[in-house]
Amino acid sequence: MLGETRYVGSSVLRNEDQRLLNGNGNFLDDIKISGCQYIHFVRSNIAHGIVKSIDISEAEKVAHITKIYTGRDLQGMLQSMAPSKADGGIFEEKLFSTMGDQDAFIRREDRHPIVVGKVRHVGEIIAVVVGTDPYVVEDAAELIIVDIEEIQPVVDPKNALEAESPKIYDHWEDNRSLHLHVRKGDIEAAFANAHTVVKRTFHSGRISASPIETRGVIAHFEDHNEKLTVWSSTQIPHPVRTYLAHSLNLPSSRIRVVAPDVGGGFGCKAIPYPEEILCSLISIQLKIPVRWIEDRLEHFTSSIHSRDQFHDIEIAMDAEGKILGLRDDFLMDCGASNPLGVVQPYNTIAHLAGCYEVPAMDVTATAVVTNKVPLSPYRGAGRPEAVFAMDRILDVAAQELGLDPFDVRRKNLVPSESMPYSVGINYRDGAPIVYDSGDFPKCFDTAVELLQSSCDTDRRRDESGRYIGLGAATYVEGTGIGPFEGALVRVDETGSIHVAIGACPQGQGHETVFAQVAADTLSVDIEDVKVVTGDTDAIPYGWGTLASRSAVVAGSAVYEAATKVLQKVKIAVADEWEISPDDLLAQHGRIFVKGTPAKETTLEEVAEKFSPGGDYAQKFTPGLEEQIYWEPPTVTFASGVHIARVAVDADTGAVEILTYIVVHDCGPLLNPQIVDGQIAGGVAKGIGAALFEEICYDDNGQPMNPNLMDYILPTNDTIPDLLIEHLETPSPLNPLGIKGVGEAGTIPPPAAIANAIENALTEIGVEINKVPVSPKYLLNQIQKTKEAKL
Amino acid sequence: MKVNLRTQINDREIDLEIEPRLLLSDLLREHLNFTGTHVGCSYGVCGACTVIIDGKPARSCLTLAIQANNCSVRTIEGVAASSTFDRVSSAFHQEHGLQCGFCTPGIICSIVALTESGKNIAEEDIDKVVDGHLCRCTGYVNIRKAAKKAVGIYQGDENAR
Repeated sequence: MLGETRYVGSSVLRNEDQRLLNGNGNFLDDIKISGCQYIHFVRSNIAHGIVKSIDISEAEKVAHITKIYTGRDLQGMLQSMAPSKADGGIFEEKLFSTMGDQDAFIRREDRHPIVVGKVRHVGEIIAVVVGTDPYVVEDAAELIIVDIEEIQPVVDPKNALEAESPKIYDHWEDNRSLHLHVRKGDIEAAFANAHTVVKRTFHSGRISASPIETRGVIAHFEDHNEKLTVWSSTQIPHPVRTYLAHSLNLPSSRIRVVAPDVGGGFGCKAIPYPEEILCSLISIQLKIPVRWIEDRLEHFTSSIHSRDQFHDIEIAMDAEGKILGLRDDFLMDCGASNPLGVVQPYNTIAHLAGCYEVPAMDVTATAVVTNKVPLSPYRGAGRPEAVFAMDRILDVAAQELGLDPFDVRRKNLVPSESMPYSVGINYRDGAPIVYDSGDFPKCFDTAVELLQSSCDTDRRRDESGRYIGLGAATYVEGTGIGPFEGALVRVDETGSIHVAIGACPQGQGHETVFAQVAADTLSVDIEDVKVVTGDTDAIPYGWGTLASRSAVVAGSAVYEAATKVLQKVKIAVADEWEISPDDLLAQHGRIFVKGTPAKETTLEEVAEKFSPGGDYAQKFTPGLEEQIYWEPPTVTFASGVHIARVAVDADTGAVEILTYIVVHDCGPLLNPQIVDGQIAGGVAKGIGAALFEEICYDDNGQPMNPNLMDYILPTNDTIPDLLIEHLETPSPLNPLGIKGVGEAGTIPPPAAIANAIENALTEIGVEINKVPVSPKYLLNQIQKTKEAKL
Repeated sequence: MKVNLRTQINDREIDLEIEPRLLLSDLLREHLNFTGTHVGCSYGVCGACTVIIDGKPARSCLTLAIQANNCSVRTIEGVAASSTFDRVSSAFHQEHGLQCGFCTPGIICSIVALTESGKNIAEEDIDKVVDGHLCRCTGYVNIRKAAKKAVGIYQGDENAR
């Protein structure tokens, strides 16, 4: 644990702001390399079919075109993007071995970065145009004639399960890509003894991460030293390097992957992509640097989508509203492939019980492939779907029992005295789920107090006749997953502190937060610490920033590495002064004997003596630096409660959020302002998923709204000010006691807001079974309810 | 066929032969290396590419470069050299009004244009400006605070240091 802190726990203003504010940020498309050519990908506009021919003859004649490639040209030069340990598969073996169900399986196809033969979704890459002018490569692409023999597309995931459905992968026996089954307790007895059983279907719609900066890649193979440098707008430079090494058959030591300033990621930049491989291959082939910047249409048709789960959930309750058992059978439409395997569906299973005591549960997950963009985790990663199903069915059950949904919720929370609490199933890393810390009832009560002090909770209509309602949802979040993250901490000969970490930021403030941790651990001024991220040449191994993990895993690594550096300092100085290292104190860059501050040296002098050839270097290992790879034992659980108060216009279907309350427990806050910023951003995404965002496909597998005019992102006028409070129960699982916060805000808003809408419309009796609750959906539900009553 | 463009960009006189179809955003980013102007959607929705043309905010991705003929264009790089910038940028810094920073230069340009308009600025004016920009990181809350602080109608969070 940290001793005296000057920075950790304070809202230290961000080190990265200056360059981002004055236009000097270094985003992917801002990197200019002399001689760099432009790449444009020709993508399929057909959802399902066989490529019969590609005619590039006219396109090749266009001036400024260097080369055009098709799948056949590149096929032999590439390994397929076989699933590897780099993409989450690392925990899968352990998970399946502990699941204890013979029927559980996962099928993962070898993705080829460019179509050879079969097209499986609109947006797949069919050809690559390389040229010296960004406008002309697009002109030439329009002259390429692609003949695709269409196959009946598979669009509805339920139809995908039918025996007569066309198959996405011909060599598979059906379209199922995954089946998981987890049980605990005596589920049959729970339902047999229930006072009330309710069952509903809930659908979390298909959504897009839509960072304002799209993806992009620059690849530069330098022939003279056979080194490939790839700049990519990615969350995972090290795993991308591994993928490139395998696909291109290159030693990973000859590849450098750099994530520069990244303009938002949220999960959609957390898998390796075909474009990274193709740009690299073409740079190697042509011996020139090449660049590709994803346009917004490409973002919607080639960057991963997320959510898209249909839950058939059933809950058994006693007469007082205590949960006896829970059954859930859900279907996930994973699109044309499932790049991260179990991550999203298993996260849903692992988080379904959430903050509640559920004595028995039986959960089945099935994923099917369809002719849509592949599905992969997006901020929340399976948890918003779980909370939407669980906290909605609780409200339905409360209504059926004639009880207040807030009371039912409160009654079922895991009591604080039960902490640490064993859920009775495993996490996706194969370890048993144990809520290591937290106080759910206190969290809940704090949220209710905030609500009562901030508004008139009895008001049911506003002056314009809108219906007002309240809804709550709770959540836990396993954060800080492994396998590891590393930190290199070095004091250079000027006394300046260099920190390199594998986790790279996309706006989370790593250059500030990890400088706070290093500065307090070493007791130096934060101005003397420089944090380097997103460069595989800066630290040999790394994982990435995703899954609410960086503060926990990289933070612990920085703390441990800096602690070891300080130990090294003390051992060397104590040896020279012939005293015990325990008699030394480090403060503000000075090292001195406790109680005798006159006898002192500085970190700078110590570092100089550690330089190769220096006094300390002779006796100890040269270099005042330490590199640590910190492996968490398992995840640590953050938790929280959200309450939404909404006004619903039953004539237009418009919903306004009047009050939004967040009480959250991520342990001690490293930087309160940054934590609140993460929560606010997460909640806005949750509001988007609850009310606005959905990617729609027609029956031909054509995306109907792949643009920012028809795919509605939340805007300023739709996001209220938030009331946020924190509980800070420390985690016992890492040296700083922290829990992750990146995704938390995104998790409960769909459930809380849907509950609030339903509560507002009690008088009409409308039920909300899907998100987003668009005006169209809501008006339809109101209409249906009214007709049913006639 | 090329056309002649004469314009002033960040106080620099520009005289160039350009393609008529060249977008202003591409002229700025690719030809003049003013890369602080970001392109998020290329059809005017997100607002990241906002620059100031003759005192008014404009989407540079929806503007042909030739449309800026005989105009005065200011990008974030030019704005950053102005006296209003310090106040706006320090408000965004203090209020954590940016995370990834990709949408930020466009928002700053819009706020600076509003500030320099000479108008008496009310909260609604700020809201209207922020309504016109997409941000996917902050949830807007801190952008609103920062923008209001920049024009002196919000005092700010005294806990920040």
